[in-house]
Amino acid sequence: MSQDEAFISIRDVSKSFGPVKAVDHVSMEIGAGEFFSLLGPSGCGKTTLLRMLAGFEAPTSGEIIIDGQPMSAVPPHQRPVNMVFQSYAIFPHLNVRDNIAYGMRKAKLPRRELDALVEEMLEMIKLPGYGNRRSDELSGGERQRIALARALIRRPKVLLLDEPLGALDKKLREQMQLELRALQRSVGITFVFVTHDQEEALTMSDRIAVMSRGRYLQIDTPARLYEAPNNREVAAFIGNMNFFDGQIESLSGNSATVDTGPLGRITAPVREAAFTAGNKVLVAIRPEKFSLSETRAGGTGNSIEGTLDATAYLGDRSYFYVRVDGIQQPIAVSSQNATRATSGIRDQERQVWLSWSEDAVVLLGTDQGPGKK
Amino acid sequence: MSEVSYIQRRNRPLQYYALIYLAFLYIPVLFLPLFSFNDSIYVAFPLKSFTLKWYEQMFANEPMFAALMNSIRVGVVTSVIATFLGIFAAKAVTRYRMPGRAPVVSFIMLPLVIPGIIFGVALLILMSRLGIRLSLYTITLGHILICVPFAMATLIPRFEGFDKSIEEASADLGENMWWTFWRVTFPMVFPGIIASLLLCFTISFDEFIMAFFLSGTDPTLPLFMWGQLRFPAKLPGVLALGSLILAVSFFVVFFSQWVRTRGIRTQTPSGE
Repeated sequence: MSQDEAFISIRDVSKSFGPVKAVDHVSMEIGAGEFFSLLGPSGCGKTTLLRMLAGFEAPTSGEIIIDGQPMSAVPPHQRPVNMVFQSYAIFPHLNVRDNIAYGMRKAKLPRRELDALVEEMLEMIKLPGYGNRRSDELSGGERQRIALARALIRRPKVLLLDEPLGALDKKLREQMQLELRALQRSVGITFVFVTHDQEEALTMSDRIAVMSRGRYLQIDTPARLYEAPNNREVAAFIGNMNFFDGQIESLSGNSATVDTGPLGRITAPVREAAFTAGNKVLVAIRPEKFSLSETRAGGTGNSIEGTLDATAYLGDRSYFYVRVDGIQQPIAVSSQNATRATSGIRDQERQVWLSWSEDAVVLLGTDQGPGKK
Repeated sequence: MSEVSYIQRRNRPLQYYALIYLAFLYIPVLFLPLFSFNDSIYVAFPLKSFTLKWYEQMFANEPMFAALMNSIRVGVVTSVIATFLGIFAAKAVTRYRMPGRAPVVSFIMLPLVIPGIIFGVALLILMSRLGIRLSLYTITLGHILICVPFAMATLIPRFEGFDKSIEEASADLGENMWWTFWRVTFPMVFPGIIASLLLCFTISFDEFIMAFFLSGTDPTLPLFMWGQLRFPAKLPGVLALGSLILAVSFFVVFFSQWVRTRGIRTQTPSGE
């Protein structure tokens, strides 16, 4: 994201609550019309960052700029942003119509126009005719949609969403993820979405900032976060990952030869980090990048022999844990259960072969990565 | 086999106890209306004939009416000011992160347990030191002092009862502090405000000790009634007035309970 494209610019923002640094010198830029997610475990500072965008918390230091306008002196009620709260914060003393129309007082629309606009919003969130419902007659999913309509009726430049799907059950949540994504595309508003659910973030986002302890670790597209994490924490947080210690023996072009001890000498692509021969590195391979066979696979790929330690059947796929001499943690391997038969390698204590392509290997530095800028 | 569960099973002795308790509570009070219709200046059995003359006398009793109006004036002003102060105190206590919150609340609540006579004497000394003439104003001041904690105690649960993100949502939707208060906070705590007004009015209306110390030449109703008791002939009139007050109190209490439960019903979100 280049400087002039940035619609929201967070510049060296910190927020402390007493001795606790909730957000620690974060800088990031979010483009216009982007679906941007802040992903991290609870306490990582994602909600605090969102609340600073909304104006409910003032940064201890740093500046937030939205659409070229510095926000530090702008109170929440004058910011060009609207928020969908985690609890939805539906006004209990107002009906659905008055909830949605709440933010339109200053627009001074004639009653009929306002009613039409509210009905239009109700159509958009697929709750037509709900205007006269009382707020205590609504289900969780309906509240969530009304909170969305109430925010979007104001045509904000940015919509902030604080774990809006957290309270919904799994099926409804998955449906809302797709609806929310489609809605964002159709209204073209910048969405900043806070979640601790990586699947949710991967499903919906254009880009994701993975946060931890008040900083971000990596900002990237979902695919790049998954396929090319740039440090151990991101690699471990998004999906599952096997890690091995290694040391670079030699480099040639974009590929490195790495001595991994028990895993043998492997070749791996070098993506960005500037490694030199002799560097200690972390070798990371996703479980699904391994293929499991009973005999040694032919071809040029890397392979190793191990013993099947345990299996876990998850319906659409299975996990196999393979013990390899000299490596403490069993290696996790996953494979799609493509055929219906409950076949495959299931017997424990069986000798198996793991193979993987060079391309599947991610090399990471052994320090905690860049993160803080 | 019984159809009710263990916890709902009837308990005879407790039922008798409840009856005795209610009788103990209300039979003395019911003597008031009983004797107010009795055609005798002596409050004693056997009853003589039925009469309404005490009520007629009461309505003709100018000083009594003046005292009643004094009490209503003091009560209204007290309840409005105490509730007003209570709203802001309750909002501050429940909404803002402030140092020393707990001790501040305790200090505000202290008048609940300090005997009225001590407050009365203290205020009397203060007033005479400051050279302020005793009047209905000084009574009102004293009553506000004892009513604020009751107002707060009534209002704090209302403020605690709703999610603070509801006020944030209002700010987020473009309303400043005052509009947010008017459009969100006020309607949501409204039942609490009504309850507080009624409670404070009732407290002020029958408060005697503070009024006794702080009154000037205009008595409030309790002071007036106290004065009347010295004249046996006036007693039935006091009984008549007492009966009326009893009736009005019943109405007020039922009304405030109704408002309160209605508020609770409309504020409990379901489906979460």
